Amino acid sequence: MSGPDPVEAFRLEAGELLDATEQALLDLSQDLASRDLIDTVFRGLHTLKGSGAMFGFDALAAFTHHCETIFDSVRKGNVPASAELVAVTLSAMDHIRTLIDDPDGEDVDTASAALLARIQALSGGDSGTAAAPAPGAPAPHTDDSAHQHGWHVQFRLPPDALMNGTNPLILLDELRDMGATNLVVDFSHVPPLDALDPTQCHLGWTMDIPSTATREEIEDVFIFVIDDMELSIRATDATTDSPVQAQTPDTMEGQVPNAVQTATATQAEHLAEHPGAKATRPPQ
Amino acid sequence: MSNILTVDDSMSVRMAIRIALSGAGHQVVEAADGKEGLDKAVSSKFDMIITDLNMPKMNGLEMIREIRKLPQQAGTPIIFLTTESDEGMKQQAKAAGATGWLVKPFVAENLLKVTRKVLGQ
Repeated sequence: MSGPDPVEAFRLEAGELLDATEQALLDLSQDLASRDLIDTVFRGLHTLKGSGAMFGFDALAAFTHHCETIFDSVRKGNVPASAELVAVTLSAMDHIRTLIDDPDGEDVDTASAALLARIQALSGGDSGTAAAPAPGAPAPHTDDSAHQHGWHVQFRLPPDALMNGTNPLILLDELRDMGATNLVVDFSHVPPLDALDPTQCHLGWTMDIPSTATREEIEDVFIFVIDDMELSIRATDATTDSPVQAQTPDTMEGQVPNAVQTATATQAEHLAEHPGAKATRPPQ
Repeated sequence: MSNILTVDDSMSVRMAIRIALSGAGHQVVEAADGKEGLDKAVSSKFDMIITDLNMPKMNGLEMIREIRKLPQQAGTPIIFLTTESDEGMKQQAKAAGATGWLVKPFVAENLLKVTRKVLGQ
């Protein structure tokens, strides 16, 4: 099914969405306290903004962002829903149609500015322009050193990582591409076989990564799980070389026999690909 | 080539995803809401699922929870579409069993980057 091109599909959907949002605004004018209607208007504006940006309607996305922002403030109770707000937003709906049909038309920018001035006047200073932090934004750094020449990384994934679709082997591949060496697997959390839940991730890892990788790049490997996992990234400097202490008695440091690394990789792969399977402790 | 299910009530978004992933050699199956997405996840094994959250009939959160109960989809990466302002929704989706997210609006390059990240290709 090839279908029409996505931009035309967006224009069609945007038209339907504008109709529905306008109707919600009209209904809202009769019931300014309706939480459902406020949410409907917000979602409509939100979708118009996001989809518009995806399909190259940048002026539409920028303009609609401000409309969405004020309705977000209404949702949060920071700005009251008023007849005036509904009226100006209905005018904004007409303008959004223009931004879809003729985004490069004459006076479009002037009309956008005039409407935005009216909208911002209603925001009462709660323009909500402060953006939320980007997903996975790195945590502040505290231990970076100007003399560091690498990183010692220790991590343990959330127990449900395998079931939730995170494959540790892919993460290890990413780290290996950064030059990771001295990879050591921590078996200390692996329970006895009769108590082992093979769907859970019981392993931890430590490794050294050269300074050609930044802390942000290392953290980015774990972007989807970084809030729920144990992760330590410590700079190693020229004087101490490796300041990291073993985290657990079973954690091995230094070079690991190839047989252990191979067996561990095999176990991890087996668990990752067959989370319902029984795992066995590799030879040590 | 991976078999990828994309679930979104927006035809234009589904088309954009299909064009980008097909161009990278993946096979793409589409569903227009959470119910249809769940039905397809019941009947077929996918290598990855990309879903919107705000959808009619069954929303994305409910669909993710149901898919995580399916043995055939155990460990299947599920990426949800979100916006940078949806921090609370992001936490809910992760708690429901999602693997990761893609921030809207996105371009094909970002979609393919996330796809490579979870599929390791």
